[in-house]
Amino acid sequence: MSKRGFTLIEIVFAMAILAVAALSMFMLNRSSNQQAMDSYYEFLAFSLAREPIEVFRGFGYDSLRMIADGNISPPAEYPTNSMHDIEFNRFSEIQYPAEASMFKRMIELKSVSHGSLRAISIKVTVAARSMSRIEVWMRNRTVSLESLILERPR
Amino acid sequence: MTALREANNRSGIAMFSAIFVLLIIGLLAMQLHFYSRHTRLSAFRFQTSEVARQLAAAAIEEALAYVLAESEKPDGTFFRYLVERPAAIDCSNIDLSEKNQRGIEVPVELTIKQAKSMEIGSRFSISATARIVDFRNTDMAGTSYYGKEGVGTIELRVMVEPEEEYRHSVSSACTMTRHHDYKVVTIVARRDNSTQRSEYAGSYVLDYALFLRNGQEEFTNSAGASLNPAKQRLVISQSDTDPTTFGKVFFGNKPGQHVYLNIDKKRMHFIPQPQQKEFSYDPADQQIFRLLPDFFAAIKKLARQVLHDIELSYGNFVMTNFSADFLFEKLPLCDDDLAETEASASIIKIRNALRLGRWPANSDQSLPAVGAGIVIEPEESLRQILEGNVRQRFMQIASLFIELNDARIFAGPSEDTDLDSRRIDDNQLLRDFSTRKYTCFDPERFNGRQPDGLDIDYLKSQIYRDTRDPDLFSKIDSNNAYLLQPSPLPQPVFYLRRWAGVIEDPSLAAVPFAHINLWSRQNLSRRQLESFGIYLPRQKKLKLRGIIQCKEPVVLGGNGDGDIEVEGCGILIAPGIRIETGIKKAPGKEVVCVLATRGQPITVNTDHRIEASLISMGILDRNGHIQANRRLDLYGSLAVDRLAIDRWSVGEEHRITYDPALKRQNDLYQVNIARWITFERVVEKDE
Repeated sequence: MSKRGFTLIEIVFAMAILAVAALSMFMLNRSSNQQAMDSYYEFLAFSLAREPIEVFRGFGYDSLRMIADGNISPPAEYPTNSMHDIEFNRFSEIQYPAEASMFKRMIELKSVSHGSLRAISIKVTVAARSMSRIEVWMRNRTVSLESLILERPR
Repeated sequence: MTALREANNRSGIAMFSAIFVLLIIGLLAMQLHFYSRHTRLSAFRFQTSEVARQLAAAAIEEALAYVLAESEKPDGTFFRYLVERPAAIDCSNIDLSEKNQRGIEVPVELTIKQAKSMEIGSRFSISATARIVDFRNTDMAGTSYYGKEGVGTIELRVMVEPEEEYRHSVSSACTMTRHHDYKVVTIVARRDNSTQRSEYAGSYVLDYALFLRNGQEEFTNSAGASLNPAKQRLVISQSDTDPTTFGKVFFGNKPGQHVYLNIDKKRMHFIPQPQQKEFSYDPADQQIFRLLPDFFAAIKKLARQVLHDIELSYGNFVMTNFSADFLFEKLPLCDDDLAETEASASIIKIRNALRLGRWPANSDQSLPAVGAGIVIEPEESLRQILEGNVRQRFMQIASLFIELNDARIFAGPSEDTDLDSRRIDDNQLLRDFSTRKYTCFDPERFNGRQPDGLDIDYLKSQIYRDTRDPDLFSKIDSNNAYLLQPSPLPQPVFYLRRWAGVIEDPSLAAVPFAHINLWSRQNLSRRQLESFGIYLPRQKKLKLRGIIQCKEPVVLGGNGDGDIEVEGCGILIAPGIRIETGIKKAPGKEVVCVLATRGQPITVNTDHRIEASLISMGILDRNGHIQANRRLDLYGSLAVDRLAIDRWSVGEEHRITYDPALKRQNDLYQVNIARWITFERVVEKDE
């Protein structure tokens, strides 16, 4: 008695099922990877946006006002009003992950007021540098964070 | 059959194995998917949470700016909340777990406006509240502060939460809580002029246009010259006609002691009436002989011409047709009033004799001049102005006039009979002694003898014995209470800082604004005064709020022309103050400016008006004073340990005009909220 084998139809059907299953798992995996990387880079971008806000908060309103009015220059690490690459300085007290070099950052300062209350609105936009791998992974190419730094009565 | 069954079994195993592998891979893929999804959500929450935190940070700064600004407005609701501490805001006496049920809303409109312009921020609602979580109205030793004074803690709480419609997609929230200390201090404590204070108030010296804490000692050491300068004139006046707002004057007398002010010619109306009184006295001739030793010596000399070998004594003489009168005069005693006529010059000699207790010699010409340099206006309201035992000093001269023009003097050989008496009078001699005025001195206060004068020992032992009239002796009178005789003047009461009991000795009184806990700023440098916007020399602004202490001497003005303008209500304490230009209050606002040292001198180098109160009182020593190198024009009050007016510029009329803003029917408080954060808590919620 001869042995029975699989028919071509059976094999094709089985391969189709396997292919669909493998493909969906591949898609799922890719999507997961995408999300994970996107989250990581977005987290990193947001941290880079938060940093100058905290530093400028430490400066206080008076200094920021002078920077906003152009009377004094901002610190070299935090240029204002145009997109700049994030500067790496291995001797700096603030150290960044290596991926931070693939971002660029813009700090905008604007005077705002309400009645007698005066403040500096600070907006930090962080974007992926073009042709960097972050561009591939980040869904939102830019993230921004805003805050207010109010004048403190003396 | 068996082989076929085995083959079928093998194909079944492969199938199951494949399905199993697929299942495992699927599970791993799912797990990776959920992990990455979770990571994605975390990244989003990180964003929303960070936005919420940034908004909370901005909102709490705005809330602080609001309460700081509102605490500057004494008429504002929030200011009253902090001073009055109603139940709506005060949580200091309730369980802290219930504190969030109280508190007043603080607007944070700028932050809300900012949030609305943000993509994520617009999904949040922002609210802020303020509440008092602690208040202490006693110091470390348990001594109560005055009135509503105290040190408290204000809590600012900001809540950033997702709006109702976004709660399904945004779960982040942030609550930020901060504590700031704040102080409530009295700048001017209310005072009813008709009563005494019942407790220590830091501003108590502002009740007075002039307050001398150690005036008694200075007065005694200067023999009264401290309040009676001859070369300076100090006018203390009131700018308001309402006696309830009068600034009082206290010269610092200790209990049971008094100080006096000299009466000059302009204030003759203060001298008790009658200012001149004649007292006709009918002495026996023997009394006249004994009273006037020079006269008796002269007639004895005449008698020797006719009664050669007889030892003559009083009994050998008889005098008739004479009369004698005492004249009592109350006169001013200042040099300026007595230097005009020759008669006045003799009065100056009598006055100097009274000062020296002997007849002045030529070497006594350089006696310190006598003046009446302090004038208190309005004079008709001295009862409402003066405190303490202040006396008036004037000169009372008692003189004996003897009318001898028609007198007849007989001398005889015997003391028992006048049968052989012979008239010996000489018209010229009688005229000489008739025209003289014999000043009566009290031998207990006068040494030696005045030329051609009375025998004052006989005057006291015989004439005074008969008359018992205390006016019989010349004196410089300082026993009359200034205008208010006979009612004694009330001795003001004072307080120690840490003891509530009353003390009447002003030299023991606590320095003003003694509670350091209530000072809003301490140990500032001059640079900090400027950087904190308190004293801006270039803008010529002095912005006071609360009690500010500088650790370095302060120079106000001196940078060109123009007076310094003061804003706000407060006290500037420094170890030495020099005023180079005028000080004026900013128009249209309530301004109280007090410049104080802890005993270091305050130097005034301007004759421009100074609209401020000057205080120089030491903690350990009692040497605080001011030095006015130009004419002083002070609109406020002056409180010092010593007047030290001899250091003021001479030949000037200095003036202190009391500012009625210092005499209030309600307390003037200031609230100072510290910028320093004493506690902070940030609670972020992500789920």
